[in-house]
Amino acid sequence: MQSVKIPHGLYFGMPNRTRQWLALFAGLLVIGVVAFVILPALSDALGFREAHNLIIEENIEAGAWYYIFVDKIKDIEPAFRDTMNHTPRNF
Amino acid sequence: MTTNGNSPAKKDYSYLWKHEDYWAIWMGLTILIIGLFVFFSSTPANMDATIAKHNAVMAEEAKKAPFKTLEWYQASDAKSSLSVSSIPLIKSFNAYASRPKGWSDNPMASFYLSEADAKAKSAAAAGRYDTAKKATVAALADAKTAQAAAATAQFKDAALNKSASDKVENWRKARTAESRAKGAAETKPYNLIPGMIVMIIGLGLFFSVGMYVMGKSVSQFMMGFPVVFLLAALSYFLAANSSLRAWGLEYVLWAILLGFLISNTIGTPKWIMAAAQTEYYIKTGLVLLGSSILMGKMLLIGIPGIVVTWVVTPIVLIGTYWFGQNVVKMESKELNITVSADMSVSGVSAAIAAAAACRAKKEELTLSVGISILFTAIMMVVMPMAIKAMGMHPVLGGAWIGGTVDSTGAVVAAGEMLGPVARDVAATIKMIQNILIGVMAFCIAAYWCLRVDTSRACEADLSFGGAIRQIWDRFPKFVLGFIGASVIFSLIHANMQPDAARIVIDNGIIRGFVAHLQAWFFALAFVSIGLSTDFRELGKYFKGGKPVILYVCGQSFNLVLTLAVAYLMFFIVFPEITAKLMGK
Repeated sequence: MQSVKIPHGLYFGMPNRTRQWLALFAGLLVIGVVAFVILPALSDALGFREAHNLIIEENIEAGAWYYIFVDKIKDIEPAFRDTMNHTPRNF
Repeated sequence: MTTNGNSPAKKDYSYLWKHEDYWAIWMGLTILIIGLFVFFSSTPANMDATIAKHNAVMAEEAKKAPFKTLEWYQASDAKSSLSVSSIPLIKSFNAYASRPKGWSDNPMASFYLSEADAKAKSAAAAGRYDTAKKATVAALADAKTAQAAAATAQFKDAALNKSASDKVENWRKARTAESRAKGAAETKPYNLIPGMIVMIIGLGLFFSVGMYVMGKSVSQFMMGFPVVFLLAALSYFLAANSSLRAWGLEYVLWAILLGFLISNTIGTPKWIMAAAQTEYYIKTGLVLLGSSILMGKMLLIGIPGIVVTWVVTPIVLIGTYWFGQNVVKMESKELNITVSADMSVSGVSAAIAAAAACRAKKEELTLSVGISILFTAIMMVVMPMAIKAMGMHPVLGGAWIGGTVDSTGAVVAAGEMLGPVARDVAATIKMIQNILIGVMAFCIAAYWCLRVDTSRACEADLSFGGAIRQIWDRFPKFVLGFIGASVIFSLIHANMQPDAARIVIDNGIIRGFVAHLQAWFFALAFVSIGLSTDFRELGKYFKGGKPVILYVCGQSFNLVLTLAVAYLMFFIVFPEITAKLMGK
């Protein structure tokens, strides 16, 4: 088992295993609060709401870290290639 | 991510199947060969002739009018509709390999949607779809009328041309809205749970083969694998939430966090640790990633694109690494190069490749990835705001975003906020930059062998042959699989007509098959990293906030240099390319 030691003072002499499980649930709770309460509130507070709504509406995988995981690239690349290869003549 | 490459001792070739670097190559190549065989044997009938016909229409239309006509777009759309991903075998494979779907209020919708719910969703969207269809028909009629008027004036009346071009663009927008509404109106029921069970068994057995031959315990691996897989699925589930997705917080972050939480509270049990094979998953994923590093894409925007990516990026990478060593005084060279690579090249993908190439520790990769994700979430929204406020040209804004924002998804999102031209330029610049990963990984691996990882230099045979042997011994072998996959796929791609290559390679083998497996492999790898990371160890690498200082300084340099070079390339040296990109 690999685990960090949890300060005793916080757990009022509970058995070590109970403290560890309690820490796990507390951690999950913190993740939940950050993800579903703080971040949406921060989106409004920082003025990011409009941009975030656009991402949701356009269904963009904003966190995708490589081009093959972004659906829109599927359309962007051929459209870009066609624009470069068959540019309308200039008057 | 420390490994020791086994060297062949007197014609003993057992290292070829006893070391995970080689297993990553064999497993990756097996998947790629299956992909090549399946997709090349199922190309659409008369594909080349159909493409040639549509290209001829586009060329004719481009000669005729000073804007993209209805017929131009219709020919382009007809080419895009050609596909090989509807092969029954691949369709059923993709159904099994599906990741949790997007959700907002109902978490269950990520895994399961009943027939009744699907019908209700479709019915709710039916009205919007009908309205969108009517809007498209009306926009098309308007566009036809305006284009006919422009054609009557032989496309020589600027006002009529402008009106026709605008109407055609309106029709495109209406068509996009209709397509989105159609998706909602045709919602189908799904249940991902059985597919995931099949994936757990299938992937578990797939990786077990290598575990068995490498002499590791298969039974222990198979016991722990379902837990690692479920944590990976859970990380995809969190990332699929609409508001988290809008922040750009991908599964990578959640996979590390979930694993990290377990290992640092209740501790990762030994039976799960047996399946937390970070390097095995990551190296196999990287060999697959090599297949999507297609060198031909470098030429998409011509010289300006190459200069903004392949000249600026290496300067920023090397400059940041030098700054980290000499000014910030980073304690770890591996952490320095991993942060420098993820900031200058392309975020998580570059961090994975760089960390694997220099054998950085998993804590170093975790830290680099975390910093990149957090800064990207901010830059993705702030940069388009700043570009709009400055009234910057869309091509320049797009090139700036593409060259500086780390992840491709965030680049597309940021570009979308500026409009289609900026989005397309940004995405294309980032895609060209993505291709740099292969060369970067090779150079880092070679540099580490020659100049950094020289701990055994005193034992070295100083002859030329001895030096080559030393380099070979220390070189991470899976990088050869990664580069090899890139070279083979680039050659195949380059020898095909570009549209055919897109259908068979890009949208077929890579997106239709390899990407699904690759996504799971990397999620398994990041869960494994979390499961085996000690919080105290991570803290040591963060000492003095040096990695953040390095990221901020490097990114500032990147922002200034990319903007200056993009302006020089797109407005001073090659303004005709900018005009082309703006052409409607």
